[in-house]
Amino acid sequence: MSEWVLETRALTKYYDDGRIQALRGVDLQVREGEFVAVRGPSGSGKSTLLHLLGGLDSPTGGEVRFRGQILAHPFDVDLYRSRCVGFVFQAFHLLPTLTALENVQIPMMETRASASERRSRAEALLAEMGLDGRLHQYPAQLSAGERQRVAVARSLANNPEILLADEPTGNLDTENSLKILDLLAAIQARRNTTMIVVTHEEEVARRARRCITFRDGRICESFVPERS
Amino acid sequence: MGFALKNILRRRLRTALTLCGVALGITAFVALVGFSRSFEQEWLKIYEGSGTDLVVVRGTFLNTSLDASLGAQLRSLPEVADAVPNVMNIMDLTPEINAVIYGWLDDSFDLDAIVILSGRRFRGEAAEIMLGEVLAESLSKKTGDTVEIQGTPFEVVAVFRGRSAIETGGAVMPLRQLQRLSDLGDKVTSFRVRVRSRGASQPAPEEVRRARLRIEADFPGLRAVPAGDMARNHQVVVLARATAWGTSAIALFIGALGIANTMAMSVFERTREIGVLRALGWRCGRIMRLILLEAAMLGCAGGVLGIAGGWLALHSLASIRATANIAQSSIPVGEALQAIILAIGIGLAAGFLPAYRGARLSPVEALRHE
Repeated sequence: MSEWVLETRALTKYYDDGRIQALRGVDLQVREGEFVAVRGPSGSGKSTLLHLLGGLDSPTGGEVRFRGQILAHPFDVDLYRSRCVGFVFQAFHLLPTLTALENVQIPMMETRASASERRSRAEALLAEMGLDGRLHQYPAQLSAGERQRVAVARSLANNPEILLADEPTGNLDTENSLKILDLLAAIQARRNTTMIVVTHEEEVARRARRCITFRDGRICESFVPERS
Repeated sequence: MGFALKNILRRRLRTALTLCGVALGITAFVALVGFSRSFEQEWLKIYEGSGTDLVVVRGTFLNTSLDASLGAQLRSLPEVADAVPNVMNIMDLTPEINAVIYGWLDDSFDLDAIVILSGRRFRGEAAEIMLGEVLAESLSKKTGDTVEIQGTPFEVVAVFRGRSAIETGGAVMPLRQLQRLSDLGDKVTSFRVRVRSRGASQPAPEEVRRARLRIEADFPGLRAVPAGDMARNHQVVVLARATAWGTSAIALFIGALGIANTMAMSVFERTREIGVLRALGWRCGRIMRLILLEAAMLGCAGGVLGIAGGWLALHSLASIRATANIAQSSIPVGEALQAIILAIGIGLAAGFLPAYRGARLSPVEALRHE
């Protein structure tokens, strides 16, 4: 078995018939339990990398490997997204017609968990996020920080090995940003989850084990941040 | 199921309007098909009420005419107890009112099956007419009055209640008179045959079958049709049924377009949510099932409303004088089930394309959708 949980080789992604080159030959290896912060200016390819690592999109060239297996046919990418990866988005992306409890159960519907198992697991996750009093609230009834905590709970629903977060604090104020960052760091430490966070925040970079900087679709810098 | 229901209820006005479209289609289906079924049953009553076992007609698709002299040959068959000629036509009695007119012999067993409310039977070939009570009321005629048909005055000799609403809304006159009015010469529309029974008062099905085979063998080109089949396949009934289904199909098609439009709009508005579901690991099949379930739920709810609407329509028809004798307000369980299945089927068919498109969305493209 590969020593890397995630690995990319000469990964490229072009849009608009090659006129937009979002990724230009990215080689990246991520170990199990590693916390990687990905930084860079807007349009540098950070989110594209995250989408390819999460199996949301397919590369133009090169490959993404999960534990040595290429994320392409015959590999079951849907299963990979459902069981191995959890996503946290900047815009939360909670379903507005569902309560917090129901939103957290959404990823579990692709598993064989019974309705009562789904419910009790969702309750436990929301309690872990400090939202045990907000189970039956709809997203519109929650604050931005609470919504992102529901989204984090949802990303953990199937106990994934990898957590991919795209600007998770981008829509939050400083206080809530710090809370979410503390939460993600705690989850990573407690569960030994491999975590890749795309961010502009220095705070994230400071908590990460490794920091990667993107520019023009390439990794231009990779370093271990100093602990304060 | 709960998720699908919440999605449907998200846009209540649009859902309500879509339901109205489907419900109207199903209402048309239930009401028109129900009315044509009642109409068919009324025809059946005409044959069954007089004890007709077989109806002998020429084996042609449209108009049928037979020589009246055939009656004697039919009666001479050992399997036949009686065979009476019948002419049927639809005639204008006033510029506004037309009615089904029957031409019978004055000793036809058909006459035994109607109830004379006032007056007497017509005699021989005289210019006399018996009016069904609904027709008599429409024409404001009573026994002793005169009805003029194609320039010939006919004396109203009776007002009767027929075996079915069709007869009660029609009239009976001597065979010869209707032949003359219809320019049929010595031709008749059909013969109604009672099969000879060796045991009970009613002939056994095997006896009816044997009589049928005998008539068709002895008279090539003729068909001996069991009374029930004749009622079901009568040209007027077939036309009524085809009209009912055709009109319903148009209404149902419009309802289906409503569902298709709603589902297409719904998928478009929820593009990003579908992207989220794909990102969370939902497979294309599950997304498709969710959208199809919503479409089927719309169809089912529209079907239930449509059945209620159809019942109301039939109930209204049953309370209107002109149709009261034909329309039945009850809807058989089988027909209601058929309507529900049809409505769900329409929902699924109309939702298929939006569901397919929704399921095939690229997660990244869907997440970027504004």
